[in-house]
Amino acid sequence: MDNDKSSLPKWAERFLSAICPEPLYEEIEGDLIEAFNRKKKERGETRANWFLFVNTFKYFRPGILLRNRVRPSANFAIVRNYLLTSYRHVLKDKLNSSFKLTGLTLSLFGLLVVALYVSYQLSFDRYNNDYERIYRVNTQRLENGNVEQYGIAPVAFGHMLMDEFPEVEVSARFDIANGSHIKYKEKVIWGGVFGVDSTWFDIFSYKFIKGTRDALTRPSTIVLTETLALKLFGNDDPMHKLLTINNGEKLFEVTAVIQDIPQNSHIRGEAFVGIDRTQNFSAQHIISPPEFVDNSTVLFIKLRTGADPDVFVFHLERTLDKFVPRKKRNELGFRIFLQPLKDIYLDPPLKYEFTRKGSMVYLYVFTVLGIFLLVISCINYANLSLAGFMNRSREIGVRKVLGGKKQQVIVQVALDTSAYCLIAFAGSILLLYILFPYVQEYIEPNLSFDSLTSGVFLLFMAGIVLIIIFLSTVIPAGWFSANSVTNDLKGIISSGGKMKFNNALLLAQFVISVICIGATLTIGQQIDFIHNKDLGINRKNLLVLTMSEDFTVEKMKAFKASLKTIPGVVNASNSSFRMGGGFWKDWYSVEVGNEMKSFELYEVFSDDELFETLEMKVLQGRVFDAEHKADSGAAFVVNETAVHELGLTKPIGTRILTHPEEPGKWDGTIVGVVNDINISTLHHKVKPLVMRLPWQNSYPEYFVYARIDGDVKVIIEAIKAKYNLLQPGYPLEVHFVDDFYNKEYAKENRAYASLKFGTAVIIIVSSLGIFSLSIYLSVRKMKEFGIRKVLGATAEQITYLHVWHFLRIAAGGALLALPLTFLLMNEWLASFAYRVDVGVETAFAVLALTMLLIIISSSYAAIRAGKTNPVNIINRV
Amino acid sequence: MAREFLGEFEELVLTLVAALQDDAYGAAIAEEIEKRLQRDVTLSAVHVTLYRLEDKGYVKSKAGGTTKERGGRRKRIYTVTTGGMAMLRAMKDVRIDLWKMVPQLKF
Repeated sequence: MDNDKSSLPKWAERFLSAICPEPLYEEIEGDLIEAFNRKKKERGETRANWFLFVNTFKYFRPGILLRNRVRPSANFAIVRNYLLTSYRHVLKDKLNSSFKLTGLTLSLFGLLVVALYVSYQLSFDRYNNDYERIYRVNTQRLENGNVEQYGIAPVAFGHMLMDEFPEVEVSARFDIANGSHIKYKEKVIWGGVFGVDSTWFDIFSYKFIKGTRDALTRPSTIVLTETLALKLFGNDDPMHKLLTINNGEKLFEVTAVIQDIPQNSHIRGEAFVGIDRTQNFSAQHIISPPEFVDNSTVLFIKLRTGADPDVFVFHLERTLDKFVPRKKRNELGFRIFLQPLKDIYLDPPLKYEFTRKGSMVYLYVFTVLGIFLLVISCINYANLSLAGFMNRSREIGVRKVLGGKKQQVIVQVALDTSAYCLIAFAGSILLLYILFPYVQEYIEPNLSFDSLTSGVFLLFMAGIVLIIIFLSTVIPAGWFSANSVTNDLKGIISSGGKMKFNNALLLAQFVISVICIGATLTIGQQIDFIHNKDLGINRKNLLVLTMSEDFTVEKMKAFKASLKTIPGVVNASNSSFRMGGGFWKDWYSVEVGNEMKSFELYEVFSDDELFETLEMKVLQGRVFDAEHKADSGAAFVVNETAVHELGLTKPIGTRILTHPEEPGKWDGTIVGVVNDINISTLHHKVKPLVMRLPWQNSYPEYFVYARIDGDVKVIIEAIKAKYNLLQPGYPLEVHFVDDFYNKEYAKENRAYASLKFGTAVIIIVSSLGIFSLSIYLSVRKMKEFGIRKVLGATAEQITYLHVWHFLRIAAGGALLALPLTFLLMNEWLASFAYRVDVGVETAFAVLALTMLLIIISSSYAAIRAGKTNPVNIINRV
Repeated sequence: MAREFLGEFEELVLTLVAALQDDAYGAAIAEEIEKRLQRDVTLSAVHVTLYRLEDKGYVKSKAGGTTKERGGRRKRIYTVTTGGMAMLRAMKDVRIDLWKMVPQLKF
């Protein structure tokens, strides 16, 4: 019959060829066509079509699908052969293979470190049972037109929440300051003692070694951590021993010992006592700012399963209506919001928040770095393995001729890649194990090697390795399975696209490298700037001593006098501010033009030796003089910023006064202008500041600055001894001002260290990659180089040509990456009030560095290519 | 070694392979089943059964000729192996033995 169909419809063909094993396909197709034609004759076209449709799809069954696999019996021998061949190629080209392996190992190592860090940062507070149901009650107020968010809530909320709210399973308060040293018999030990509700341990899942969770239900009890208990009691049983806190009269009985609070907790303390704050709620606790701060504390709640936090907040607001009308609260901008426990560590800081803070920004930086590392290692590996396999195209051709199938090429490439990946993975873990102490030192001291063995982490890393294997298999496998046998044998890989692809990979690699180099350089500049910026004081050899709270004015006088008798103490001053702590703030009236204007100024009460001790510069006029009785209350010194911001043209002699309710007490003139000093980090701008003597030269506050010169240890010991004579039983807190700054910048320094490390890995991996790739390329292009040489090209020209190939792509990469880097870095620098500018010089430095790296890493192959003897090359087939 | 058994459909296909001789291929077998047993069968079922029989060693296959009705595609002709023949025979004998046990009612 002429109207017989001679082939299946296209969809059926595609479907069948996709699911049927190749050797069976022709038979199945033929049988289907034959059966269709028979059906058509017997039953008509419609029935036949339906028959074909049903029968085609019925082939989608295990009996057919599972026949697609390569037979296991044949597999083993072939796999051995694949691995053997790969091994022989490694031996043939030891240098490139080891570079390939080194690159992969290094980037996996970097990735491991990043993954460890990120998982640590994200693990904060998640060790608590039911952490999803735990929230901190925060508040928000409107102050000077700004929304200020506080990490505290009125103390009285504590009872209210437990008693009146069915959604709340348990609530517990945490009191910030409750003492700093604990005394047992004659032994005094430093340790943070915090007041908490007895329910605290129902919210935070600490592990009890001795005693139980209800340890604080009786008054005058204390819970210690293991380390503190060991320090206080050694090997004795701490239970039921009696302690005092801060030299107080009250005795506390040890009723429980807990394991040290995990490192990944945002709140850590050494000891807990019962909270002793039982204020009843009053409207003033919300209305007046100072009363709000005084009568508020950290408050945690655990909601019942299924309770909606929004509904809870709604109920709480409604309860508040009884105390402060909603209208009034709206005026104050007073609002309550819940913050999930797990977010506290990484969220931006709030006012009066007692916590260790992480930084989302640095977490992002790390994550991006990790992704970069992953991408770079994939690109690099894919590029090299592509180049390597191209030189093996004859082998693949022969395999195909001998009956190798498409799938087998894929299996071979995947095996080769997997072998590399697994070796590199093992190598990177070994490397991490060896270098772990350094990782802890430079990146995060609390990382633990153990977390590597956690199931989730292993699963994650296995996923990463699979991604690398997949990405670096797909491309070469794709090329080879698509290439024809004849081309394979001639060593041609469907030419054009191949090179373009290699170049695209290179381009991506350069973009990443340039971003990383640019970021590292800029951050390095900013860090240098921070460390070397003139802070307005000489912070070397400067100590800050913090007195205990009941230190009296008389004692301070005596202490200062005795300090000066210690050899090596050059100067000492007693002032009201702490480095990094901040200044007091008050309203001042200042004469500007001819009228008195009100300004909110930062203030310092200090003796007159402050300027000398900190080595500040007097720019105009004089500083106040304690000998001069009239200076107390009448002589004011301001900083440069105050002069600018207040708009004083002739600051000396300007009238200034504060606390008008005590007329004449604080009323005088500006007698001098000093330079600005930075007492906190460079993230913050210097504020207008006014300094004055305390009333009648009585000593003001708890901070003493001492400029020293000589053997630090001896001097500090001497200072402590003098202090102990005046205030026995209290250890003195001594810090270097320099240490404070270094600690404040620890986050930046760490991020910089990790970025440097990440960039170094990326640069090394890329350089190794370029080195190997340039060798592969030069081998492929040998003939071209030979012909060029015969036609008169010089060795230099050929070298140049070869290097230029890489430089050209790098230039493209830089063009893409530089603006991006610029934007990113400006964003980061914006968090500093004092910062370097990202300029053209940096861009040039990045360019120069990139180019240099390329020239160095590709010139070996290039020079070799230039020197080749054309006779050896050209007559090759 | 566990003894191998044939399923009902496998036995049917194997018998047809033996019966059709040189004309035993997928479409032909399916046609025979439809014609003689009035039983609807999909080609894929026949093919899968044939492959399974081949795996078990009861049939073997070779590429066969082509016809116009099949659009020039080659057939795969199946032949019963000695093992397959022995299996068929054994099954037939067992059936007959069993049949003899059934009381034969004479009318």
